[in-house]
Amino acid sequence: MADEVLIRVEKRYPSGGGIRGELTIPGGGPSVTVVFGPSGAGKTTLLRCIAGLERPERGLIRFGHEVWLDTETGRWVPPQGRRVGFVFQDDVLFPHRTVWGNVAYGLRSMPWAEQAQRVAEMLRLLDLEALADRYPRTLSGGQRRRVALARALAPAPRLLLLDEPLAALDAPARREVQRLIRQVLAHTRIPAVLVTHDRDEVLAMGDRMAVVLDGEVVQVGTVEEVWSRPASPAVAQALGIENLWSGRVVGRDGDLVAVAVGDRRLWALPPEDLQDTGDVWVVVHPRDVVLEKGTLPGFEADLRVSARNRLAGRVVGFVPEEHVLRVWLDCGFRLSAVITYQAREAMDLREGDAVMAIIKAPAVRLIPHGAPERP
Amino acid sequence: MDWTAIGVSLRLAFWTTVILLILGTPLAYWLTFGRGRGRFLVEAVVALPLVLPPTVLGFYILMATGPKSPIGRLYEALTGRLLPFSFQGLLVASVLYSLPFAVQPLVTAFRGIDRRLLEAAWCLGSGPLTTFFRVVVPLAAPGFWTAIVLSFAHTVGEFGVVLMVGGNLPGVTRTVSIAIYDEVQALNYAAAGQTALALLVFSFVVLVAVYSLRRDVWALWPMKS
Repeated sequence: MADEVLIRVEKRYPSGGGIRGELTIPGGGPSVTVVFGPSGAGKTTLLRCIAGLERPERGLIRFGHEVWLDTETGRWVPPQGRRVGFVFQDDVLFPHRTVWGNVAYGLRSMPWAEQAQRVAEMLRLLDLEALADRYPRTLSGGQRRRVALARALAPAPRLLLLDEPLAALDAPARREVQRLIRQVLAHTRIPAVLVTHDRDEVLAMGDRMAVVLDGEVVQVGTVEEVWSRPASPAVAQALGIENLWSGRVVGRDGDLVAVAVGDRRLWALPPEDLQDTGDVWVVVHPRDVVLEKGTLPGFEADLRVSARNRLAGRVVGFVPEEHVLRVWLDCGFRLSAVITYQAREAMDLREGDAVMAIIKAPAVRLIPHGAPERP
Repeated sequence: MDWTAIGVSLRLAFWTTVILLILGTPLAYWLTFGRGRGRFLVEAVVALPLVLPPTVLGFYILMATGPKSPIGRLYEALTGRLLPFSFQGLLVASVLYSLPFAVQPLVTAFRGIDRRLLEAAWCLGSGPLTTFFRVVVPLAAPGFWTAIVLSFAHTVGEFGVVLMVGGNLPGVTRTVSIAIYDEVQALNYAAAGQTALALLVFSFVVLVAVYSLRRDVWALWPMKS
């Protein structure tokens, strides 16, 4: 593809820590690659290598046909020559410049009139028009984050790098900034790399993800691929192995929404920012799944039971875990449930048995993803 | 009152300050952000005038710039003149003598700047020089003001080095402090008193003006306003 980004780096700090691994970012359109991993795993270092703020000992970074870094030939393009937008973890706004001055910083080579127009456009896009003359120290966390975004986007970067863009914000600001980021990325069509340690953020923002553990990129793929087929137990543990399916909101009934997953339908309590149609991730914790043995397809409504969701399936495998047993079912999609050993004993549950998986609607978590329509 | 001597002092202080800003800024920048080794050595050299008696410094500068030294010979070859006992010689001595007073406030100011602000500027396309003038200078402004005030004041007040290097040529190297010393030696207390008072008033007015305009300039040590 046109501007595919290839990143292969190895960077070690003398004091320990660093990053090693390979990652590609598809070009030719908006895509969000989320770099996910626990704190201190090396995610930020990876981002800084892409921006040119760190110089890896070994590696190759290629943006389309441009080589930004090649330690074999000694080629290195400084950050000024890469035209990437970087949104730092705690914003790092210029304290001596107003909001307007911060956003205009990267536009110096433009004629004045064009510069003013571009800044105005950015302020409008990030809803900052009323704050143009304010200094960063007078802004709230969410406002500062928006200024940082506007500043990074103003020079029309070819790649946007976001380091924990939702960290250190309170819940309303988080929702607001998250919505804006999604909206802005869809609007500008700039591919982005986003670093986070928050699983919900991966689901809400990511198209593709790279898992970083202990200084190493251990798995790269679409969010669904990585979640449904973790490359190693360590990845699975980092992700907190839950049931994750891609679904679509198809209807509403009172407080509940209906979500289609494959050819099944699940009822869930919708989150605040859910729209009436659109793609969602459906997350169900395996501990919230109750199994009922011997129920055959067709008996999917049981008026004596309060749980709203009953999925008929078959047992396809068991994975013993500490104190509990993980049961894998095939319900048209893979579903895992966690039960006790006593329960399995009592039910005499075996591979191939027909079971009904019962899930309460409040236990079905929906996370909207993909770009929302512009208001 | 010795207006000629006051003129020499002000001229000397002005040019010393200008040269110190030009030399001291890159030096302070390197001491703060540079990656080179041996920074501690340079720091020690820069701080030397703080602890050396002015006569010792003056003596070495006199030796180093004399007609028998390589520097002295080079200067003579270039200009046809000698450095010692000239205004230019005095300027060289003053620059070295006041170096720590320019460099240290600048280093302190540069150290207070979040390095990531520079990185943010780089990512927005600013080269090192642009970044310096658009980010570092505005943020280090109090440090620059302090460096200017201290270099100027310290040069106006120097005595020992001037005496060693400059001698006492009226209108050339005879500064205010030397003039006052001379008058006292000649028991002309009235003349000495006038000049001393003029210097006192001038210094006080300058400092008051600067501190009233900028609350973030520190006198001798970093101070939060």
